[in-house]
Amino acid sequence: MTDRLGVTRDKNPAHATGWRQTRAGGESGAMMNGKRALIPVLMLIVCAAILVTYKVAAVNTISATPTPTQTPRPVPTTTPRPVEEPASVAPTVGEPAPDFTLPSVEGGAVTLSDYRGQKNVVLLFYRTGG
Amino acid sequence: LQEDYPRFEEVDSEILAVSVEDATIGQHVSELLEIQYPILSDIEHKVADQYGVYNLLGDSLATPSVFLIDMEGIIRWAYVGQSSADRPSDDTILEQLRGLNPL
Repeated sequence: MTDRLGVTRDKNPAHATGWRQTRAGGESGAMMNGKRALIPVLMLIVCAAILVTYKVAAVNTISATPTPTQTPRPVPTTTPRPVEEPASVAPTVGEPAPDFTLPSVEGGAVTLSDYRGQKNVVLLFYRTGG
Repeated sequence: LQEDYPRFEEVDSEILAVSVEDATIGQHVSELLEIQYPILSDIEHKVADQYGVYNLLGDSLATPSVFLIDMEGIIRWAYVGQSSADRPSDDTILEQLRGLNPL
């Protein structure tokens, strides 16, 4: 409905001016009168089209108002999601082990790659508590 | 692991124990058990993050896990615990290590 009205509204003034120019140039007065009578009708259609468009827009904004009350519903469920979790990707078997240097409890630092070519490493993540 | 440490040495392996807990606790444990292998302090859990084992159980600790890294620096075997007490036995780890070193 809106599209149709919008199209007619846009086209009509263009046609009207076009007719004015061509008819005024070469056509007879009788034809001019017939076309002049059409112009107010066209103007009315344009006005009607504008009015309808505004009403549709108004209806849209009114119908759009209840939608926000519906929209917040999914939002609260999305917001609490950010729970702190490690985004890191665990290295898999067959891949190079990520190198690191960490302080040793006994003093000094230990670098994983220092064992390369020397020893296998049993990398153990442990915890004292249960 | 401590009792079996010589067995790990036999298969050309070093144990590196990483803890994200406070170093003083780690040191306490180290003295208490006279652990011979290095205990590494990873308080900022950078390494635990690197290996994707931090906070898997939602308790802001490293999940008990074992990574076997061969002499080429390649991860050859991994075990990530499903619970705080879920760990592979020393024998399981040694078995895997012998698989790396067929000597």
